[in-house]
Amino acid sequence: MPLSEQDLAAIFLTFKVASTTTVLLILIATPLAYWLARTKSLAKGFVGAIVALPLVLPPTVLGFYFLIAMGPDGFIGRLTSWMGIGYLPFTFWGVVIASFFYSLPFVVQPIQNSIEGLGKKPFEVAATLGASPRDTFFSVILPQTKNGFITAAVLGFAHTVGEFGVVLMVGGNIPGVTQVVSVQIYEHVESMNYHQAHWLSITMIIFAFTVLTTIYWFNRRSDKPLLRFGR
Amino acid sequence: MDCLHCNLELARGDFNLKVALDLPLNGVTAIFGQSGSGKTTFLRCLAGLEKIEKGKIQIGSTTWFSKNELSTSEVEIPTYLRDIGYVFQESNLLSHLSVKENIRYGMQRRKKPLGDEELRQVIEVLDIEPLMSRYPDNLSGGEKQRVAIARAIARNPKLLLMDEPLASLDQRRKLEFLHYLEKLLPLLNIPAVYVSHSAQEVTRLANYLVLLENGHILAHGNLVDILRQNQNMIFQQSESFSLLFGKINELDKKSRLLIVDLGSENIRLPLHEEVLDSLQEKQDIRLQVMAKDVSVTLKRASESSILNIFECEILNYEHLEREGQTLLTLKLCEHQLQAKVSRYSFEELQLRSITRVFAQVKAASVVR
Repeated sequence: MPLSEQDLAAIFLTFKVASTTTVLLILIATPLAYWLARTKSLAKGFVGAIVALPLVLPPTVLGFYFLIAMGPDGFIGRLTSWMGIGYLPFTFWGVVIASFFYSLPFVVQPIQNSIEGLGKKPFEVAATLGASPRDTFFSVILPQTKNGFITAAVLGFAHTVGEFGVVLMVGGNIPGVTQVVSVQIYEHVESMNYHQAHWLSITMIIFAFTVLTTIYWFNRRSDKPLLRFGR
Repeated sequence: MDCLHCNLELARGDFNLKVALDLPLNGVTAIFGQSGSGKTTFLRCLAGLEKIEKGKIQIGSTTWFSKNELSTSEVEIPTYLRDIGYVFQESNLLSHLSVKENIRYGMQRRKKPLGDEELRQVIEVLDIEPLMSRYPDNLSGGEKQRVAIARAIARNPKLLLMDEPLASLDQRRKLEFLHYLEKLLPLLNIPAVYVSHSAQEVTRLANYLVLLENGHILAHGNLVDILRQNQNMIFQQSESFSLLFGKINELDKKSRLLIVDLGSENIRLPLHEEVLDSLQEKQDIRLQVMAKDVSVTLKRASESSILNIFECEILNYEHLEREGQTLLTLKLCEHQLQAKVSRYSFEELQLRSITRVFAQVKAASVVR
């Protein structure tokens, strides 16, 4: 057996973290992306920059501040302790919340780009046909930006699977709780266990390649590229 | 009488739109103006697609928009609650829905859409039955526009707004389409506002005409009155022609002659097979006379094959330098008749110093 029981547990945990994060991301990034795509407010640049921060910051910076914020003296820590949940560092939900912000730009931007790509015409056409903004979103915008949402979900998932620095800072290395695949590989290498590290790494490469092929396939079928950075 | 009351002001950079008028809520009102005159913006204001600084829009007893400095009560009914039908310049069908679904989309979102029988009639007149299951990507420009018009009408809107619906079509398609619209609009009892810069479309479709220039109203009123007073502005860009409004005096089917009363004169035209069945005596009629089909003489020609010779007063003339011709504006009863003669004949006949001539009208066509 090339993958040990602990490796399989790490893979399972990774998928659990990534799935939970992706669901949360789609639910919260959708209204955010919609607002960014439609607003004429001056706050657009500011909010857009905050969303994009994880693209340029080292994951350790993000992880470091999350660790502090979630700790006993941080505002998230005070909130969770007041709610009776305890503190989030080194827990599953701590990793999920940190991953959420880390992967946010990868979900917001494809959705935002695909909504912006529609222009204002579909919104106006739907309004003249009697559709309220909410109705318009579900009956026109969602079907017409389907590829953007698929790309966003796949990227959000894959990016969460691929994170390392943030998890290590916030979650540490607790088997079954916070020990995801990337951390497990690091552990194997640290303990000179190259054979195990190879097997896990190759699994990751195959996974990443499959994901990217899928995204290119979707992008090829839509008119506009859905992922652009550095605008 | 119910009317569409519009009083609105808005500014977009250098452009200001200031419109105050009451439009009739029956038949077709055309908003005519050159590009940049603000006619599309005005239409978008009616639909609620454009932000208005202040003013009032009221249709019948329903207020769609009301905002001014004094009153604190503001009304702004959003587009989707205005129960309108809107035809955009480009068809803008919803690309993820088939033709049938596009038409149904608007109907499902209206309390009282068009009834089955009327809808069937609209679909037949616009000839879209064969397209029902196709998707917008597989339709030609003309087909898309026909579907867009059916989609707007199927809502049975309180007001039908059309923004140059023929602009994206070529000339031949345009004529075909005008034909569809002429058949369709009287069928329905839906008031329409039609934006256009084409004199041809306006004269064929409208009952009421609004002339817009640089965001201001030049004139508005019944088509006949406004055309008469503003013929030069309206027809400057196309081949010159005159419109004569009359009443059918006699339909002589035996000798195939149509006699139209123009006031104090009658004009006689050969009765074309195509219009034979659609005309009735005493019916109001619009005739189009191309300026090149009118010639002038100093004496009344006798024993001529020309049916119509009228004694007219020359109101004014204009030299068309590029063509080497001169455009005469003549007074015929209460109408203005334009005649195109060569610059050479103009000088030869010394028309400069003459006030009365005999106009020979070689041809006229029934517009409607």
